[in-house]
Amino acid sequence: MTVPAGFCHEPLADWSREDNMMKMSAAVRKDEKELNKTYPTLYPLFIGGERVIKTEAIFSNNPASSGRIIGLITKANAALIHEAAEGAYEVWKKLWRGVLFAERADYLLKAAEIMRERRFDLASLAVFEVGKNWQEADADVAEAIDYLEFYARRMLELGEPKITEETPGELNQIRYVPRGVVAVIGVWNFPWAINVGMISAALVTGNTVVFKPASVSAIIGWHIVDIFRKAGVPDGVLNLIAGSGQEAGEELIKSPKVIGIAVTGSKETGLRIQQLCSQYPCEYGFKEIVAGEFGGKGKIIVDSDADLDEAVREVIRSAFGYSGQKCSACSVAIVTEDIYDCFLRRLTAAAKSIIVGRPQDPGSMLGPLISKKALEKVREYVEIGKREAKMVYCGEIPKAFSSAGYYHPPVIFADVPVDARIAQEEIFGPVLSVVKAKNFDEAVEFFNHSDYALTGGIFSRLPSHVARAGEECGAGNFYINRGITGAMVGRQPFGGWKHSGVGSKAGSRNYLLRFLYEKIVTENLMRRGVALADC
Amino acid sequence: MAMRLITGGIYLAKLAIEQRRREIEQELRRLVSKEMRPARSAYWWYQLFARRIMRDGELRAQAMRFVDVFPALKNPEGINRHIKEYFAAGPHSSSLLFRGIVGAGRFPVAKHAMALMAGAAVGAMAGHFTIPAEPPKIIKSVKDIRRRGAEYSFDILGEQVLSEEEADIYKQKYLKSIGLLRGFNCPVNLSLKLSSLYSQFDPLAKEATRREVAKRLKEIARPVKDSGGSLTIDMEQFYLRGLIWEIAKELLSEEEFAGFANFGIAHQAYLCDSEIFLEEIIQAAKERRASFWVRLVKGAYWDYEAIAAGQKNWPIPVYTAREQTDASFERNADIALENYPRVKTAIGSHNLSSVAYVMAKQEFLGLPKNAVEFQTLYGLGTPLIRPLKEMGYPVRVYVGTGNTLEGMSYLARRLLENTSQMSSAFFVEQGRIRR
Repeated sequence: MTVPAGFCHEPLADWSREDNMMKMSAAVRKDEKELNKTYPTLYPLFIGGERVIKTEAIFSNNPASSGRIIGLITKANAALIHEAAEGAYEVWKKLWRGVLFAERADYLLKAAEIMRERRFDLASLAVFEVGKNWQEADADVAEAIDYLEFYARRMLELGEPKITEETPGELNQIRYVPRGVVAVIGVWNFPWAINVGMISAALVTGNTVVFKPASVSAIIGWHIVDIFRKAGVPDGVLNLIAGSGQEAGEELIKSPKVIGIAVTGSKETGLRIQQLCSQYPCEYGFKEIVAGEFGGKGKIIVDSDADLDEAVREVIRSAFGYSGQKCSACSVAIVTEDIYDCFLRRLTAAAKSIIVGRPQDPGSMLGPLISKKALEKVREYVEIGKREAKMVYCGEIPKAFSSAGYYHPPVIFADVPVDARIAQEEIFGPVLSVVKAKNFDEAVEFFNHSDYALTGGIFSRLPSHVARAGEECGAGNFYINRGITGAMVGRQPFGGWKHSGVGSKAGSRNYLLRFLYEKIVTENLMRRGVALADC
Repeated sequence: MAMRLITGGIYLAKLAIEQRRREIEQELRRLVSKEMRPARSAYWWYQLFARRIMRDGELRAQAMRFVDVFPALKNPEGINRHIKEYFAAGPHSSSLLFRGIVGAGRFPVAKHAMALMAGAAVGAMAGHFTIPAEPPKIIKSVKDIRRRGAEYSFDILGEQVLSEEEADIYKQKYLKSIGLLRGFNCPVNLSLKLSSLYSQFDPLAKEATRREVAKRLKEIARPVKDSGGSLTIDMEQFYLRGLIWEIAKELLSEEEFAGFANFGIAHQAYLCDSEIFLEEIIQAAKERRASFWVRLVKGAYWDYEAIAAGQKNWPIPVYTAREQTDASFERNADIALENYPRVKTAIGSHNLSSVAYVMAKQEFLGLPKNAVEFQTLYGLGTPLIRPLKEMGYPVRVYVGTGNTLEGMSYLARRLLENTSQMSSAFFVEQGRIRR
């Protein structure tokens, strides 16, 4: 086992229990009122422990009803951003890097406790700010708690002194040294889990952090920082700025005080940040991406002998859960010729039966996309798809709320050529391409024809095919006879290669090492030919 | 003092019931083994097969996998490849039989013959537990069962319902069977899985689920009721139980079904909270005009429940030891029998100990023999039918109908159930081992 001792998953809510339904329902009703005020709350930034409120602000709205602003947050200008980075550097040097690892781990465990107590309230925020349905929102919060628990306990293991080799008369010890100021560039699709994961990893390893949440989930970003403050993290250790990626994000990365970047975003974001790292060096070391997760193009192979009951159900879930706005989502199904027609028929019928609904209503499976920009991008790809392949299904959005938010219906393209743009580029929406393969060999070849290597899977019951797929398919997370989303912290450490990511897998035992330098201390224990200590 | 007397009395009663249970069990074993003696074709082979694979865990898993994948295989090449990969590796591969079979697969003629043989074997096994959904076969099985003096109940096997289109097809299958039985003037006895009546069946989508299921359920329940037949609702996975029960209660609360007497639910004794839930059922039965059937079973989703809960880090809802389930079964039987005739009890177990316990308890309470109905699974519980009838009890046979593909998941479940540690139906095997 590779999970640290004492780690235990936060269980997802059991919705068959009336009490959970009532609690979530109460949280949602409360937020429905609260977040619909005429004068929305203006949230401050946190810089060096100070609350900073300025007149210029960005707003975050409810994607299911785009007119509704659920909160405003102060926009950070260049001066504020640099102030935040410099302040973080001072606090790191003078305080945080010297704090004992066990104490730092303890802040994470306290934050986990606070989140556990407020689980349904926090989930409800994800319902309204990023349009997650109940189940997805709950899972997001539970995963955030998992990260806190996992990294805290992993740090407790790492912090214990270790020696490299038993050597007579000499002591060789490993110590871990924090890097400095880490910029955390947040993401909106798992506004709790991924951001809490990146921040907690940076903090527990002794780095100070300037966190810039995605603008569309800035209010949850504020709450994350608030939770760490309530957990007792000292002033200035975790700073919050807000603004767009192009402006605030780039300005932060450019700071000479920033040495590491933890980021989740698109492939383009990743390439751009690498460029900035070399153009704007850090003044006390090499600046680099310590943890980067950059999109994917999840694919599932459906083999001739697949159990179609399972394959269809899981492809649907993986493709359309949270409207396909997951890096791990299944975007392409590669189906062997002999079952292609049958699979497609059942798939299309199943897509028709998906409940499209408002995120706040329990039971909705497919809700809105995150923003107008996202909606336009998906529409564009659907147009491209119509030219490249055959559109076999396009659902409908109920009239009652279709115009209120950024909804896009589920879409399925069939007979998609493997090199078509819709089968190659990340769409991040409810669009599924079905590719026909002559046989299993061709299916594997199609699978690997990709810019990304993040998630993938196969439905097959032939042992040799299962073994070969596990060996040959390029994907950081590969699943056999199950869906390809919902990786769990510690159980399925998450991340890929090619243009899907840099660094170690999130939720793995190696992740924290990326935030640390490894130092070997060698001490000669002999004095004038006499060993002075047992070693 | 009075307290001690009462506990003493209960203790004595328990002792008497236990004594009687042993006598009945012995008698049952004697009668059942008489039924077992002739090497009855398919059943005998099944027993042989089950015994063989029960001993070898690895072989059992591979056989299960083969039965599971078989209906998806469309040509001899596919069948051969699977046979080879499933059975040619592993400890049993050294046996002469397997080497012979796999080796023969290299020759084109033998390849086809082997595929045919495998097909025939799996088909015969499926045919032993299920009936093809064809009118003559169904009618024949009804006659067959009635000739033995038993009643029947049909369960229409299906693939998973993934879409509304498929839910409608499933409903149509039910309506067709209902029409068929009514055409022959047979009462329609059905057992039903509500989750197959709606593709998005989920406690989270409660409103939609209730609405859609109720719509289709009423269409099925109406002709069943009119035919004087019976309807039993399966309680399925624990996660769905609350919602299923709610929908069942809603149906009964409607005026149209208020007097529907042959309505029941399958109640699973392996659930840790089964007694509390049974009290709830009884409460509902008391508020009702007509009586209510409780089909007491041990439960068929044991592996699933334990695994699903384990993966989610939820409390395991089922008893993890076989003896706990057996004890719970008896406690639930006590509660159900004590509430006769408000609830009527049906016993869905082949375990002779459990069956004997219910009979002993029934005698102790002075209930008439027809207060309890004993139910057996088609093909599997056949040796139980005659002994139960001879002893004077009503018997009902549960029959799964469907095509090979649909029959297969049922067959896989039965196979698993009857060869696993938790098996509640593997009565003959146990009997032999004990002797």
